[in-house]
Amino acid sequence: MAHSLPQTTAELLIRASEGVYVLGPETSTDDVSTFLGGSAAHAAPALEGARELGFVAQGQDSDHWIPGPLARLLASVPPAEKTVLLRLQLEQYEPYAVFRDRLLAGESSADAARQTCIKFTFAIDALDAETVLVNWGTYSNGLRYAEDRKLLVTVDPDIDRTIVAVQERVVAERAAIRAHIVARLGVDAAAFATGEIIDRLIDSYFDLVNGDPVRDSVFHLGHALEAFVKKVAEIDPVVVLPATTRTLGGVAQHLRNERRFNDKHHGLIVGLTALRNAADHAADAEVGATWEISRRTAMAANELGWAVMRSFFETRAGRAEL
Amino acid sequence: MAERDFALPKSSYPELLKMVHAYFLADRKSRGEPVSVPEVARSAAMNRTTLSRNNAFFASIGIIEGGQKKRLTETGRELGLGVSHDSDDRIRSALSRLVDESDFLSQAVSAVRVRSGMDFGALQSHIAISAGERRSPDTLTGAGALIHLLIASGYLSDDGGTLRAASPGARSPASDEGEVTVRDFVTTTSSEPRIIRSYYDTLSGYYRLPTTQGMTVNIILQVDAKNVDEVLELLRRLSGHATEPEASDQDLSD
Repeated sequence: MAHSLPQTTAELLIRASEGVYVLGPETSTDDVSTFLGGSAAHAAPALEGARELGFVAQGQDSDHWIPGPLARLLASVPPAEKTVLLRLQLEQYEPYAVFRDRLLAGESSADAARQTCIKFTFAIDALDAETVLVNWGTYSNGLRYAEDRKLLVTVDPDIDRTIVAVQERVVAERAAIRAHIVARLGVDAAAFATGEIIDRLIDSYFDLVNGDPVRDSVFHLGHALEAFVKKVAEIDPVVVLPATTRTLGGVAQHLRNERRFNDKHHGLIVGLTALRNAADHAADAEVGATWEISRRTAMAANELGWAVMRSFFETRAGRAEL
Repeated sequence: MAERDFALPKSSYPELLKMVHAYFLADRKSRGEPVSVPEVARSAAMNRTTLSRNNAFFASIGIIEGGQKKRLTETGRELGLGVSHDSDDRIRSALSRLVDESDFLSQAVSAVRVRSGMDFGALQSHIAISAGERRSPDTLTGAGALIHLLIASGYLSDDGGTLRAASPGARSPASDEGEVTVRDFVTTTSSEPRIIRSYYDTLSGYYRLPTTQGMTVNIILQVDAKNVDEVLELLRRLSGHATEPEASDQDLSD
């Protein structure tokens, strides 16, 4: 298999992977660059690196991306555990394995990088290759500097066990959050909100309680609501959505026109849509600045999202409760 | 629509400080009003193009603000004052505040921290890539300037060629501790002098008395007819002259 060695840092690679997961399948390079707060020239190598390490996969074309299972895990763990996940993937990435083995054989990092470039016919300058491999290796604790500033390879025979522990902890935390959200949704809404709806609700709340970026949480909530309104359209009798109506706001409006949503529920969804749009990193043309969303606001939005879902089914059962 | 990448400086750290000083001098002359780049360059006999090339960086970390005409931010003015007084403490205090408020600079510190240290070249490349730049002499100069800025701010230290991140609590005091400055506005009411608030930051740039050596102490007193005697007594105490009250009264009556 042909490999590439894109010029990016470990931090950008990880953040780009998280961006693909947070923004959803088939997200574009431009959207990820907005998520990262930089240019496409900035995001493209980070995404390529994420693909090389198996965190994301190519989507419908070279400008679209799909998150892999590890992208969700990356987005769910604190920084110290992100390094472990990167280490796991890095050790399986052939160019890094060759670089590491050449270091173990006593080569300097410059020579090891040059030899790696030759083996994989990388067009990249050897000095750039060394920069990237050392950057990824030191971030993941696979490499470290000795007292004499010589680069050392670290060996961790327990890394597989560490990964399993990380996964177990994440699964346990998500199970606890799921139980909390299901209780808030009530029986009917919880039975309805399966698949992406509940997964994204968990992601959103998980980010808030773990101190992850608030924008990520709001994006997840937006995805959950989008999946929810599309599923509401499928309730018998099915409301057929026009082919061009795909966005959260558009689908909600169509369902309001078709009287699937009442005015109150539609209005609340419009408010949550405005918050999701404000979470975008790009500057708002109307106010001339980028919105900052507080954790408290995002927490309230999660509560409101659950309340709307619950109330939708309460209202159908003849109880006008919010 | 993607946002712009972080603007790296185009000059070395000492040159950047000279430019901040140039802005500071122009700021004093204009009494805080926005000034054009040619005016700033002229006031410091500095190359206008060099200054212009660094404006995006100065604006991105909050040293200057404005459109065609620029003005120093409050922190930019504090930094300029530090450079003007050659005060390492004041420079560190201002830089530390800039790092605190810049995601990009804070992330550079985090990169060093998570790796338990980085060498200069590795951090230079890391900063260049993070800013969306390719490695070139220009970008490495800019990245190098940022590293020196981070060292001067106290966020990074150079440990025998390896850069290390200082934990926030362990950083050197990033304030004016150890520097003799008068930060407080002293007044008197009925009997005892008391400190009511600090005006030093806003006034010191414009009301510094000319001096060639030693230190300058600026005292601003608010006086009204009711407390004039107490103020005179306070001045005597501050100047260390324990003049007899009677003599003082005599002098005043003359």
